[in-house]
Amino acid sequence: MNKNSKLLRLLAVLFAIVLIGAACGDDDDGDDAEPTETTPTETAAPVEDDMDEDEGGRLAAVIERGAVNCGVNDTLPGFGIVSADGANEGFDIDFCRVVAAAVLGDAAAVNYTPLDASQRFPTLQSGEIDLLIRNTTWTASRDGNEQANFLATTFFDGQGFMVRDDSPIQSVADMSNTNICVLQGTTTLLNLNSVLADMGVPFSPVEFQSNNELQPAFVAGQCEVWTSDASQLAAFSATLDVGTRVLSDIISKEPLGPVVADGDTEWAQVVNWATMATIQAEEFGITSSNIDDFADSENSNIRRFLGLPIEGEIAEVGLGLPTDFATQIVSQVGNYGEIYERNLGPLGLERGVNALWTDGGLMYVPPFR
Amino acid sequence: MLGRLLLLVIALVLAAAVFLVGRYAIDKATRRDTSDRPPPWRDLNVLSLAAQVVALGLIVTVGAWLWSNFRDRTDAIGLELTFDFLDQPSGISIADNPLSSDAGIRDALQQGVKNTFLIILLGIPLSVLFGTLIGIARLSTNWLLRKLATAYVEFFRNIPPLLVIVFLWGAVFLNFPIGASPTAEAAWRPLGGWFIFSNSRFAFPSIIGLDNFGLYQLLIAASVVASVGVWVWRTRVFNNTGVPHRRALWSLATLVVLGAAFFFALGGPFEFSKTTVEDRVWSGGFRMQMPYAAVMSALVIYTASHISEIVRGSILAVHRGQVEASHALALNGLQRYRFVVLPQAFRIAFPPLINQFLNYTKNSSLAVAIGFAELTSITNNLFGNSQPAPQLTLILMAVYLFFSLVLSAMGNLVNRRLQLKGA
Amino acid sequence: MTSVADSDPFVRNKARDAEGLPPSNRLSAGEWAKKNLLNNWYNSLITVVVACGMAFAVVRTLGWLFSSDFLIIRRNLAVFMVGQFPRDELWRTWASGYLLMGAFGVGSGVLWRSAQADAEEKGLPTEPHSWPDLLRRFWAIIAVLVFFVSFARTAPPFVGLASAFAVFWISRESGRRFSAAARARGLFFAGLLGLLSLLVLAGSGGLVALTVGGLVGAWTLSEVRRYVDDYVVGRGAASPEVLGQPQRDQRWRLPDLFKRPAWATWASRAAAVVVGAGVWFGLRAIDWGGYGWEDWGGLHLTLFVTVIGISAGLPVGILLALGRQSDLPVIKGASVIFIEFVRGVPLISLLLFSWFMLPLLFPIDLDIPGKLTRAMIVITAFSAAYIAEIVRGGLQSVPRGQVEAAQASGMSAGRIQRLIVLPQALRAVIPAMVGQFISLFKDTSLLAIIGLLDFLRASAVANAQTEFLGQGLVTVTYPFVALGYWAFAYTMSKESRRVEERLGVGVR
Repeated sequence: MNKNSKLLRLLAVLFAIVLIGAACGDDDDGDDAEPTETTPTETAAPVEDDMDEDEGGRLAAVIERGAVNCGVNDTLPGFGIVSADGANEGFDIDFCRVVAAAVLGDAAAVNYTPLDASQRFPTLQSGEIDLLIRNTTWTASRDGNEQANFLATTFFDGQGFMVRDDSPIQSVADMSNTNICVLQGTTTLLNLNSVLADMGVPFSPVEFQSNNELQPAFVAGQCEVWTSDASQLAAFSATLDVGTRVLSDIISKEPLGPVVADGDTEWAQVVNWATMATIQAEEFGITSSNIDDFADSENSNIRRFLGLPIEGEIAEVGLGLPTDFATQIVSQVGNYGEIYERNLGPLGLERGVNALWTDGGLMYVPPFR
Repeated sequence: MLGRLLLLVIALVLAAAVFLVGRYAIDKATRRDTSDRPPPWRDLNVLSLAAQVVALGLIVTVGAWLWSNFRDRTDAIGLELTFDFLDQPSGISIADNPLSSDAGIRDALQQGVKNTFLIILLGIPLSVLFGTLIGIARLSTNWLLRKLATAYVEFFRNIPPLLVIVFLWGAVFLNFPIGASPTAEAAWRPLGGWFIFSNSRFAFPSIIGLDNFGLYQLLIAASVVASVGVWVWRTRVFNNTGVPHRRALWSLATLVVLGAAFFFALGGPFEFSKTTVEDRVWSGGFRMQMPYAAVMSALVIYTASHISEIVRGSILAVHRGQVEASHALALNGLQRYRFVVLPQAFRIAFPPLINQFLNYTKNSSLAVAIGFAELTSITNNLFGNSQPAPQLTLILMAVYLFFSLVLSAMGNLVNRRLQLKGA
Repeated sequence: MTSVADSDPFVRNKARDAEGLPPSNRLSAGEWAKKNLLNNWYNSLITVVVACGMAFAVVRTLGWLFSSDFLIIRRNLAVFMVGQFPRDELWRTWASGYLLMGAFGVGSGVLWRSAQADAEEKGLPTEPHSWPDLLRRFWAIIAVLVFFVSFARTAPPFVGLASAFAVFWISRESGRRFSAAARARGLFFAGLLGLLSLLVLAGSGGLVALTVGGLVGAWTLSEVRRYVDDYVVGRGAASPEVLGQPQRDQRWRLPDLFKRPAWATWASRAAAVVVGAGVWFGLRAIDWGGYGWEDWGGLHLTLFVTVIGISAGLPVGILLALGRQSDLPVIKGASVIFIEFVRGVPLISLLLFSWFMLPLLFPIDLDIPGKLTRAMIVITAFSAAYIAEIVRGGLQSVPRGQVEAAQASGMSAGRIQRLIVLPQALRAVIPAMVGQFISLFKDTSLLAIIGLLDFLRASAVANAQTEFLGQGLVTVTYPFVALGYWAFAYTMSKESRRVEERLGVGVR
């Protein structure tokens, strides 16, 4: 008994020493660690750090990977679909290919990630995709809150309304208490809510996740009105097997274009200039079929644009892109007009505001020099 | 912080190990009797404690690692981990709901929970009823009915519920007459317009209270008590004298007579309300959204195909002697089922039924596919409108978990009451 | 006919299901109708109503069948079957399909043989084994697959399908040549074929090579031990006759009940590790090409996600079930919390979790795994939680005496679980596992909601193509998809009932 209690006392002392030792070691650790842990968060330094690390990282990562990860739509007629032979096709898809052609010289080097409207920003934020081209509207709050960086608009759209031929509805003001079909998680829904609320027009939303369900609902008459981007409505209006009428009311501006994550200027510039090159090419009249004729062009602007040598001038513009990126884009994918005609032409969409500025449209890009 | 905690734990474990081994070694060295105490590395108590400490340490470490990853990533993308966003305007609006898009996200989510609850509330009793009928039909003596019921079960049990919902919605509910027009003139109005079926909304008659309605409700409550009393009384009479009790008839009659009497005494405290459609506004009556009806019917049809199998199995599991005995007592088919087979079968069927209720609850989340504004649908909508995904996902899971736990707790409670005592 | 009904246990069961009706075919048509359709007034009424309803449904279905234009399916057949899998590499999917068929064939042949031995032992009727029998069991899948490839309107897919069935038949025949004693060997072989099908399809990346290496290693282990037991330890000591067991029970023998020298144990382990690691590195050294599952799609994706979900969920589920049965509060508590949490939330919320939360849980300097990988993580967790509950049922069904007897014979706790409890428990839960397989198969359709191109979402993708836009062709594609799901789930549920009846017969 005696011995035992002595032993216990011994052990207790031992135990206490170990404990104190451990705790002291911790204190040292903690004193060192805590400031570095807390102070930067107060000054929001880690975020800056991350950005610094990311700077130049995305472009390098893409080149190292040898492919662009592109977030797209796969069920949006004209803009992003999957063809019967399994290929991603569409207006937005072609701009993914444009970026791949510019950065990697191979338009096919794209990994497509199909995304829902609700999935796109979290996926962009998490860095899973390099680039989001999924009919995404540029808004101030998205630019601000979603850590998204919106680049040159590739398609100017607006939110419109479609009704059936025989409907008495002529304008938004007539839509009091109607059922309106709309897609979930889109700016379309937000615009609808705010515009109709401002006008004092009550309505009943019928929301769907995809056009695949929305379209039969509209055809069957579950909703009298279908609101979406005017381009979509025009496409469906041409193909639906019921007579439809697209109203002249446009309640919003919907500039659609590529989006990258905030904090990587270099990558944003690369995507931006690659996108704009298609428009510049159309302005110059360069197409994928006649690009070879420009090889001996005398026009120094064109030579500069295509990355052809000019005497007494350094070709490098410092974007991190190869000098011949525009040549790659135009020869592999085509110019803006070609991309438009290829994907949106079959849907019967007119160029409208998306014509070149020289034709009275909005497509105007800074000079390539 | 974490490192310090970990070191502390390791130190504690080491100290304990030193203590135990040391004690054993000293006992051994001093030749004390150690027969009642195995060495620590063979002592079950010690071993189980050690295993648990290791397991706990592993869980805590992995959890802390995930948490630190989570913090790194959320910091990097500037995601706030607070629930303040719940007070921001949701920006969405919900069909047939006064909630404006300026109302908070909290309110929108609450509405979603309410709608989920509505799918469950009406759907579960319906699927039990329907499933029981199908289960009985599968055992019918009518060959055609039996085969039809079998085909029904084999079909719906074997396709995904999501497909059932989308299919039923598209093939049946969308094909109801058009209701989205100024007066819904095309809609189907059986029984003199008391019911309206259209592909935008369904309407049923409802009760609206007039003067004295509150008093009337009290009186009805009293009548219910009275009718229960009559039930008890008739049961007692039957037990004492053997006179047929007819307690259902008696208590129903009590209720009806009292209800009617009070109705006239109070000068008509309520009236039935019929739905009218004026200028696209549906008012009066009890109205439901077509997607609600579609989701619920689809889930009922799907769940019933599973429940019918449970019911069939349970009916077959009722001892044959019971059926033969009821034949001997000259009970007819209905009586046999009502008094002999079903009560016993239900007792057997109840535990697996709870499982089906849980499945039903979870499947209600599939309404997102056809846009009925239940919780998943609203959450998904909010994801798209710049609301923080982690918090919303957590809320979503917590709500379903709550529903599931409450449902299974209730089910277990009922089950305990249902099972034979001492059996 | 009557003799078939008498000898075939299944027909007899059906008759019993119908509350002991005598076999109907003994009656004349009129008598039969009177007895089964018109035996009293309400049955007659029901008959009339049901017949009218069925006639209406048949007319509507036929109308749909003949009025619909199936061009959308014809064009998109490949999208429905394999999604966006590169079209010039489609041979990989065929080759992998053949290997999988081979795996199923060998597996079913081996199992048939062992069931046969069981039945003979107990003097029970043996399971028929013939072409017509297989056709009867798998008619739904065969019919639907033939229906699907008929849309291609070319010969090669038919030839491919026919040869797939031929492969199945041949490998089943070869599987039957494994003796009952070599059952484990046969199943190993089937598993290897299954893994090879993954290898052809996806290359040796990820866990494929590791799994193949592991399987080959395990195989080596068992072969070396068998050799040691038979030839080194000596036939007398090893042979089960000494233990008073009949020859066919060799497969149940408990290898450690007799003395095996320690060097042999270690040698077998070393051999297993060397061979397994060799295979692993060897496979990784070769460039197999192939496409990981992020590129899969369509029905192929749906089936593979199900198979992988169940096979990855099984070990986790068993561990969780054992954890839940554990006496240690911490382990038990953790298992219970995990199981109840996962079972309490809908799969769709878990999938949303995999989309929005899971990426945030990976270390910041690591590339986020692809969407399907994340989905597979939650699907594995999901199926593990359900399997755990099923296995728990099985564990509880093992009589306590088994464990006590094993303890009395001095076996360690781990060995009791591995050799005594789990084999019996898992055998008892096979039907429930098939049920879980079916329900997971149906649940994979939720991948469509998070935007993966599975069998269901192929319908949405096809309907968005310019050629088919706005024509409401979901009325064609949804029934098509429903048929696909139905055929597989129906066949599996029939099989599970068959297994259940067989096992039930064995138990009684």
